[in-house]
Amino acid sequence: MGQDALYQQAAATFGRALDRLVRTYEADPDKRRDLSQEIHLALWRSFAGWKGQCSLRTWVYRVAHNVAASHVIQQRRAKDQVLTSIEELEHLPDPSVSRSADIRHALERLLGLVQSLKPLDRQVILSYLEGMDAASIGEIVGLSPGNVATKIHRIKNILARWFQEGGRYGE
Amino acid sequence: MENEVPPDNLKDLWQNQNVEPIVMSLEELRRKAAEFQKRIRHRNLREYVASGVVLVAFSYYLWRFPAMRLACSLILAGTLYVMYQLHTKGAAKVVPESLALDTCLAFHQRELERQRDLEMVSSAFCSRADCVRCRNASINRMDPRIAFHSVLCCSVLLRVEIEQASG
Repeated sequence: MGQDALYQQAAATFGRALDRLVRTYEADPDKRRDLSQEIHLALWRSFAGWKGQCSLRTWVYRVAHNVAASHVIQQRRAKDQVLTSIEELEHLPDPSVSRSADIRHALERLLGLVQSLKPLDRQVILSYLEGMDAASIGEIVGLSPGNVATKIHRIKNILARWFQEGGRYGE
Repeated sequence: MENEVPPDNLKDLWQNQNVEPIVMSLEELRRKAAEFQKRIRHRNLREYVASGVVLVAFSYYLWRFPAMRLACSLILAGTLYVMYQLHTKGAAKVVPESLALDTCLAFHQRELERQRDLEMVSSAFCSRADCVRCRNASINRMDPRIAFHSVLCCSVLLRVEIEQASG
């Protein structure tokens, strides 16, 4: 399969997931569009070197996460932004914001939580939310499945504290 | 169960959210890739011309002012190194397949190392202008140590730029 066909297949299969991924890396709509285009361009260019080294999903997510992580590192330098890790977040007190039953608010809070994480932890939680198992996440991120499983366990605890107190989306 | 963790609910919520879809046609991708390669080619051309001017000028100084022989030689060597780096690593044809072959962890570590190198050089010489000023100072003072340092910084800065521009 050629470069164009591979890109088209990847865009058709993972396009919406990539749009969600970009949302967690950039809050500004204009910059988000630029980052998204940058990821698509990198993806298309990368397929020139595709020899089936890994699954298409792993390839797509690695390219997307790596381009986005570069973006985060550059932005962090520009904004002097402080990011946290899953381990640090687990030990922070519960958020004081009111718990809303509204789905939109739940999504915003989830997005805020993901955006506050360091790139590597962001990649783990994002892959978890996209429904991947520990082995698949480990292959993309480069951590052992055991390490990923530990992080997922912590993520579940954090999500429970942030979103579960008497209702479906934390009302 | 009211207080049970709802990870699957959150996964559904996450996966079914409305996001603005970004669609890029193949023509648009080719146009943007061509623009990128053109930018890299122009950058390289600019650097080659600047390096050529430096080579000619410092070859003249080397011949005209024997007392500055060591400093001029170091600058010429550094400039040739910069041109070599440009030739081997700054080509416009670089394809970012390493983005997919590197795991996120490996890529992230490399990015942080690159940023550290850049900051290290930046803290020594805030900009390329400082490097040039330093180079001039080395000529005035005939100090080969400063010349060597400045050429080294220029080379590292350029290498970081090449890596960043090559994506």
